[in-house]
Amino acid sequence: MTERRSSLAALRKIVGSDNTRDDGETLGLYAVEGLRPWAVVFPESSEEISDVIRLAARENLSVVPWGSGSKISKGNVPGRLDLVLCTERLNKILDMDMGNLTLTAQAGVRFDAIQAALAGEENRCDLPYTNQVTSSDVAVCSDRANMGCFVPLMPPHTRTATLGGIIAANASGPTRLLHGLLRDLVLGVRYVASNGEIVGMGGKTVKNVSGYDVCKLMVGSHGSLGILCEMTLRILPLPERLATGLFSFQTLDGASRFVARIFDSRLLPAAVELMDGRAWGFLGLEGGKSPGRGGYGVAVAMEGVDEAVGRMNSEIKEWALEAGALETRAFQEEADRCFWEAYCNQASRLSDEYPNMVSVKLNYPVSVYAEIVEFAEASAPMDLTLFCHAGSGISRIHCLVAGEGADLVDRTVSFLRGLLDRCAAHGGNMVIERAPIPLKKRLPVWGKPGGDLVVMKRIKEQMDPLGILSPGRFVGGL
Amino acid sequence: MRKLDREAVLTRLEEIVGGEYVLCSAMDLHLYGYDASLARGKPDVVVLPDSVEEVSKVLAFAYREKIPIIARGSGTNLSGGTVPIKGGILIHFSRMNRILEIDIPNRTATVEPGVITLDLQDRLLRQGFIYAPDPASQKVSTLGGNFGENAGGPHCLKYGVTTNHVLGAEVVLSDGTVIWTGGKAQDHPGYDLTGLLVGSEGTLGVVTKMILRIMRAPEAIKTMLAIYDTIEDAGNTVSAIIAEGIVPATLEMMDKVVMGAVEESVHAGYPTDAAAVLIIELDGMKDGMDRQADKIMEICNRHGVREIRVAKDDAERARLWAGRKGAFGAVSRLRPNYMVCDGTVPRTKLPEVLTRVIETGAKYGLVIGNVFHAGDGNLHPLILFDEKNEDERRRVLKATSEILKICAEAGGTISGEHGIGIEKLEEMSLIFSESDLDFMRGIKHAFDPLNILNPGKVLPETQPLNP
Repeated sequence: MTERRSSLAALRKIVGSDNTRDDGETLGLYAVEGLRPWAVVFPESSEEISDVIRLAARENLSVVPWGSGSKISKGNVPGRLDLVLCTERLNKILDMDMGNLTLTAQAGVRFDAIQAALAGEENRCDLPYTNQVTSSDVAVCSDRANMGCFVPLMPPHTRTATLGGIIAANASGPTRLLHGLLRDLVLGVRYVASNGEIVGMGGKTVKNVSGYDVCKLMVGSHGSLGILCEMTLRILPLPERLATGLFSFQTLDGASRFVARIFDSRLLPAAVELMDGRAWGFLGLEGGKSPGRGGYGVAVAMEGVDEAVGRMNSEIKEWALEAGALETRAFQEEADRCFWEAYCNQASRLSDEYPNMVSVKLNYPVSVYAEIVEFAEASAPMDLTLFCHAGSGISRIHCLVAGEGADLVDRTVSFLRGLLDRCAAHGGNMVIERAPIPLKKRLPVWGKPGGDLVVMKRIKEQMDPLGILSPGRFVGGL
Repeated sequence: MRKLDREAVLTRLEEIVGGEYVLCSAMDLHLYGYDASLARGKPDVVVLPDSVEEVSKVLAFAYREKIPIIARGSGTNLSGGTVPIKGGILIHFSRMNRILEIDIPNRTATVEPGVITLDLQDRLLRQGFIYAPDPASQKVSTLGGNFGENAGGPHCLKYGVTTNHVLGAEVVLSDGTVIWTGGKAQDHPGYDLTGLLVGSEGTLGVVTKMILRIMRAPEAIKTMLAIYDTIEDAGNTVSAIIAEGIVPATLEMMDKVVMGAVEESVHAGYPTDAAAVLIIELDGMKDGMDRQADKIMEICNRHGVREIRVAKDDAERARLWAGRKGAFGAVSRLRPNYMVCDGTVPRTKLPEVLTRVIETGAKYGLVIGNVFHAGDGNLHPLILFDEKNEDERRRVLKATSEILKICAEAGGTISGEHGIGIEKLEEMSLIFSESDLDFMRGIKHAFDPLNILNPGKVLPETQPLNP
């Protein structure tokens, strides 16, 4: 205990007394999978984080980084836990370079705050040369240059998630179909390594092959290799037009035919999402015909120039009707934004209603999705909601577990193991994103590790030899 | 090769890949001693394996005997990455050149590393699909080489570089172990090893199969050539197009020096008296493309364009691109050698940096041609010289280093798509601190503890070989 007291004093010296908390209430709020830290620190700069980690390395204290906690239920129960390092005070947007289309922000900035700031940013017109031909009173950029920008990502928990957490967890959403993943968007990162050194990689250029592509390693490393402090992302100008079509089908077969038709075409939708009737029911849509139990919904997001969105809207609607859609709906503007916000924040809403909810993410080659969906629906021992990024081979299932009986736990475990086997048979996998702790302890949280685990282990051992960064939480118990 | 004598090494390699696929004549070793950079080296032996099993056995053997391994394709790389500076076994993938599968439903192509980039692209196009990265050397370069260097190309402005199109890889580790990273199923749990391996220049593992992302060929393409009397107007046009919210598939710039050379060799129809041209290409859905093209032309006009030509058909489009893609080759008509700098800067810094590049050329009395990916801020100043002229060669190296420094100072980086190899080792410190480099050294050590994979590349002062 005296050691702890002296460590606490050292932490207070680094981040200040107000920003070092060891009261019971705070410790309870920042428990990681039921494990309470003995201190929570709130640093406000990379330098302070560096000092905290140096101290942790010296005293062999384990540290779990925390943004808003929206995804803290992902990962194994930590092997040990001394400190939680909360990034909420690293909440500054450092640079919005509209001419370059890059954004640099600290780890603790909330995602929706970034989108709001970018949307309101007005001038992209950055003409660096002294103009030799045009006289100065001629406008050299058009009005479109004042339309604002956005980060082309629709991660879950948009209302709470922080940029650092999103990148650490490699969160993605429906528009990955058109815009790719964080690995495609992150241009630079600054983080504190396990020895306390501040490391910076990449920057504001969209192309960079100088040295190893460490940004790729840090994206999705779940706090196991370093504490993310700042990051630079690609941004895009807001598209001329956004629209969404929502279609309901009586059967998976009808919905699948519709989805296949879209992917066989030359259209370029931003997202094609398939959901079961129960998932549809939780979107809080007013009016209209729900596909109901056994039915499926498909949501198609479209963005781009006016003409292209117009054509997609009409062709996709036609194809939906040909595939037997019960109903078609269209959202524009504000309604469009609200629909996707509800869609992306569905997990938060469900977990309020079902505290014992089990959430899993399945990945598989996209061509086998119908098989996976059918299997999941047919073998589930409880109600579930299912969403698919239909063009990417990713499904999210929320098992709406009501009750806590041992029998139910057994059946849930065997259902999930069956799902994992099914995905693994096709070269895919399954990750438990949220589950009650007793259940989690009986499940392979990160699915079936592959032969590459040997390299991951060596990287972890090399980069965090003391095992102080989120120990035990990641794949293979890293 | 210390422990075993040369004969024993050759015998073992012959056992693994077969006698006719082990090359060791003086001529062979000379031919595999260089790439498209100025660097020169010499391997001890060249092997041409035919399968992952053979590659694995070669690596297991090299690991046991601590012999360096250099894996390479066509050697079009520009920074010395495949030059065997420490001897060793050079693996050439000319026999592992099979397109193993084109999986349309999953939108993937699985290939061996020796497949020529354009061969895959031609084959895909016949089925209405594309593999997007299009390095200028695509006629010759291999996909394995593109993987190792994280190759770029003109179309990367919209579609990203090689790494954005690699979904998974079969990799032989330094001790001969074979693993798969990533795969057809996206979001493989764990570290993104595929992302780390792409662009690692063969220093972390040897890739024997790759799963690449393919996409439907765009419905429509529109290619324009905008001709300018000043380089400044061309530069402002680039910024204004981006500000407009248009993301063209390509935004390439070429200056007078390069155009002159290109016209002599390729006859692409570029004006030789203009100061600069932009090649602007739009692709995607046909809807709204004409309006976007009109918008671009309007922007060009506002910025004093002399003339805009729109390619009327595929043949015209091909001719415009032949000039751009043949540019590096064409400048060798002007002088025997060229040094290409690959510095990349935030796009808005291009003008300032270009001016300083031109000043640097003047300072050292060198002719510099510019042909580059303006849309993503990736410069390619081509410094023309004759390597037989020792003094000139020295000035070229000084100018190169200075240009990279200018890029670093502008918040950019020293290589956008050509890699570090051995040419830019010294300049790594311009953009990385010792802690940054140490982190990367840690990665190298985790993959290759004995430092036998392409030793001496990418990272300055890695641990010495055979300590």
